[in-house]
Amino acid sequence: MGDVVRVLNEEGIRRFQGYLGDLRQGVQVDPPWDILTDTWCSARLQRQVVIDKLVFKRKLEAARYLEGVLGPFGSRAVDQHVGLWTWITLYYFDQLCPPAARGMRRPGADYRFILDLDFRRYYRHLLVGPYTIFKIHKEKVPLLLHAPLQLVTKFNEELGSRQGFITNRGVMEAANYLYFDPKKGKAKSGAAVTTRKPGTLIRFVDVIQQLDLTYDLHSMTGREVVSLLPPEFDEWRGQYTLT
Amino acid sequence: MIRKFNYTGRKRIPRSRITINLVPVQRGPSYFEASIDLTGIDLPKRAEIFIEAYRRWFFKRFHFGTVDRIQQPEDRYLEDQDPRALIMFRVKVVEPGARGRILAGADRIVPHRTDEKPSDKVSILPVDFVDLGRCLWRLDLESDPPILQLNSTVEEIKDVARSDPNFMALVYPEVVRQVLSRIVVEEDYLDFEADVDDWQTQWLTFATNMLGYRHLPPSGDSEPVRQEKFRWIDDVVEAFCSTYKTLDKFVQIRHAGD
Repeated sequence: MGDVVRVLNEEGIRRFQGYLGDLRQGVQVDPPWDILTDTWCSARLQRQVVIDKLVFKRKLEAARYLEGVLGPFGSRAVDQHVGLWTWITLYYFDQLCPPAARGMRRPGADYRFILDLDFRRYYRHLLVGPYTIFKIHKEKVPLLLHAPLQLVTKFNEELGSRQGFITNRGVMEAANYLYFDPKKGKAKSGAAVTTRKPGTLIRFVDVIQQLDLTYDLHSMTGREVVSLLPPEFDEWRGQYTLT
Repeated sequence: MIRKFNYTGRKRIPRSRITINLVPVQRGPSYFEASIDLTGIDLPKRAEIFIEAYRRWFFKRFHFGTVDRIQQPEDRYLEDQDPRALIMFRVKVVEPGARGRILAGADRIVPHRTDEKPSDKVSILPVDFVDLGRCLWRLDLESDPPILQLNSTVEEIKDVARSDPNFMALVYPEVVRQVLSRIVVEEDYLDFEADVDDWQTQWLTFATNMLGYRHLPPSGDSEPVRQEKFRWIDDVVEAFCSTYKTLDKFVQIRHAGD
């Protein structure tokens, strides 16, 4: 038995925003669950959608589930619907901002919960980011979807923020080949360092931006993109050494 | 001073050779029509042509045949996009074969919208309509070229931006100031000889047309040079206001109700 999805209105978003502000100030109170159904703060969707309070181990499960629920509505109705996504975010708030030690919740910036349509912050929304990645790449890029819901990894930051990367299947699959360990089900350690160490994520971004000037990367598979990379990536290439 | 070098050997397709018309459809996906003239550009006949449409996380690629046989595909639809959204295009001519090397290209092409009057003028300020929350407008200076974003939730915002004297007087001078600050102060881009299709060159041309003489401030980032650059920007903004009579029209409309 699920719950009917609603849309937070301006008042609902304002109250949720106020709650996030309180948390940041150290005021620890219960999330404003009442606004999920309060008619002063939320409204029904034109078409009824039912959602379940499932527990998602990783971003992938959440994205897959939400795509199943919202996909039939079409991108135009869903992707930039601030009220809809903010409602869903509050609905799953316990997973998106779980209480840490002594019951303290540390939410971080508003854009993680309240959808911000500015492109630089859009992908940082804790549900819209994974949802969009899943819509484009389905199960092929676990590198960006293996982490728990509340974490935004360096891979999400560096790859998700770049339009030319996130929409390029070959490039994203290449990143996945290099930096995801399928046996452990997580990113290889040492790949996401913040320095420009040879072969690591930041260098991958640099090199792909250079290759993009010369090669039609959009026409390539992940393996073909990997094969273009210079020897500094050999350490990460592992079993995907190509000729 | 920033100068651009092309080390890739890739040929440039002048914008004047590419026409992209966006046909907005209210109920159903918008689509586009494109024509490309590659006459005189030395390219292999079998090289393949692609047009890519993109906006934020939307991306779609269209095969337009080969250099010797340019063909529009039947599917030129831009699904799930707001008909008012700013979709940009790029054209690529790609070497045939597995590892496609780009032989020629043009990027950041702003399409002409068929629901607007045709114009010979090049638009240097693309406009996009997005939900900006409580803000009326925003200048996206991080995109190339800078984009004026207008709040899509405001009724008739398109007409307001186009012809409202208040908007003209209060918004556009600030837009001109911010864009020129990015080009001249932040990027130190002061090159008239650069590619005429570069948005920075187009803005510098626009600025000097406003001034009525071909003068740019000196290059560099020392404090005196920066001050000179800011003075030059002030001059351009004032010339802009003078050309479009922004103050007169603003005052006129304030007194119209008296």
